[in-house]
Amino acid sequence: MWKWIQRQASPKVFFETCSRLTPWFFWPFISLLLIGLYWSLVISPADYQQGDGYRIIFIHVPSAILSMMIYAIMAIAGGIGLIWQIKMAEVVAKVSAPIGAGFTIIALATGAIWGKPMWGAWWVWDARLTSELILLFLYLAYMSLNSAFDNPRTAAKSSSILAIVGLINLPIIHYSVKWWNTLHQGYSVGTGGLKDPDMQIALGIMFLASIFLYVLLVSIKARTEVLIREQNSRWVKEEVVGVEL
Amino acid sequence: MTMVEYFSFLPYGKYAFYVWLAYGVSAITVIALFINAKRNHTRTVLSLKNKFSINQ
Amino acid sequence: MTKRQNRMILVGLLVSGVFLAGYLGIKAFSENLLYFYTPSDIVDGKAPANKSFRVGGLVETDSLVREGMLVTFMVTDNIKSIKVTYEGILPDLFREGQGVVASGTVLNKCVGLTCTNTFIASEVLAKHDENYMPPEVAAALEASSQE
Repeated sequence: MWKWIQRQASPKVFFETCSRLTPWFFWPFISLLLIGLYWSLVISPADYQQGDGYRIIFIHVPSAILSMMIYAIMAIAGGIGLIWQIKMAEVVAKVSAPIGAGFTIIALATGAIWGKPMWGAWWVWDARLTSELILLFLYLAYMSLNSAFDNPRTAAKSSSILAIVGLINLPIIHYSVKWWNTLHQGYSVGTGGLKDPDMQIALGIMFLASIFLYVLLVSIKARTEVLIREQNSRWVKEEVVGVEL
Repeated sequence: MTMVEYFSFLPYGKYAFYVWLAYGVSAITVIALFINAKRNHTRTVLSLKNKFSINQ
Repeated sequence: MTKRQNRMILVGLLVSGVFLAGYLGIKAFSENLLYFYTPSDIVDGKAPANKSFRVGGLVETDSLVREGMLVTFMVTDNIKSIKVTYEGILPDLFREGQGVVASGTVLNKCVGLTCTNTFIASEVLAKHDENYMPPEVAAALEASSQE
């Protein structure tokens, strides 16, 4: 088992795995996205209170969940990199940051656009919205800290510590609507939430599509990062020279 | 005429502006992420190619 | 002890330290993180006096009165309620029986011996719940709850 992990974590094998992953995630992502959009925008019925305005939920909730999930992956991969010094874990952590920031921006933007017609305000400083904004700042801080060092190992070390410190924000975001009075409503997934089966299916497909998008982007970005880090090794030379552009 | 009224001919009527704006902003963000990833990769491969051909 | 175990302990200490600090921080600042006070808080004197703050709750059914642009309604948390006055445009989702958060100040008016609190709102936001369903389902739920 340990041997297998070590083999997978060697830059060359990891690079090849990512290359193989990309097409396997691209087309499923596109199909899931199209089906998900159709289910969200056409099949799902209008809401009894919010009419068609609630349809923003099908983007807002998956991207908000992903924004937190990717942060957790980033911090855990960073921790694995710190403890076991696995270079490929550092790569996964580093390339996850801009993707996570992208999902956070989508969650914040769609939330604001949803808030205006329903609540009557684009933005309020309640605990849920504020903690999600802090998540975006954590991603940005991680990215700038990571790019501040020339040595990728030093960069990974310091930014991983930052990522682990920022982990505390995740339970705060999740429980904010429970612990404090917020303008933001409670959980959309779980006990409350979508009461209509078509709404649930639409949300589920959009969530799956988001996960595929994340893995797809990681598989592309990780390859770039491995090429840069391993540019002095022979296999990279063979790989790059062999590529026709 | 406000933006909301202007776009109310689209599906979802009075919410059309907000719903399509939300989906549009998300689409732009996803496409930007994707193009950025692809472009970075191509650039890296190109510059490494150059580097190797100079060293030879 | 190997170097790896050493690093493992360090990372473990980092994680537990951060979560301990977070827990203490949340405990200390919990009050400031409240977005609004409930009508009960106001009656119990927990809300700040002489300062603008927010009150949140449900709009009491049959309490809405419109006089031109001026609206008055009761906000309740099903225990206590408070009268709110507001001049301006209400959000789409504002309706009786629905959640609302208003910001403003409390005015204590006494007529004779009876004093009443009125909340003078400068902004009213609608708060919706996390239930989404088509109108038919909502009607069916309503019907079954009345049986």
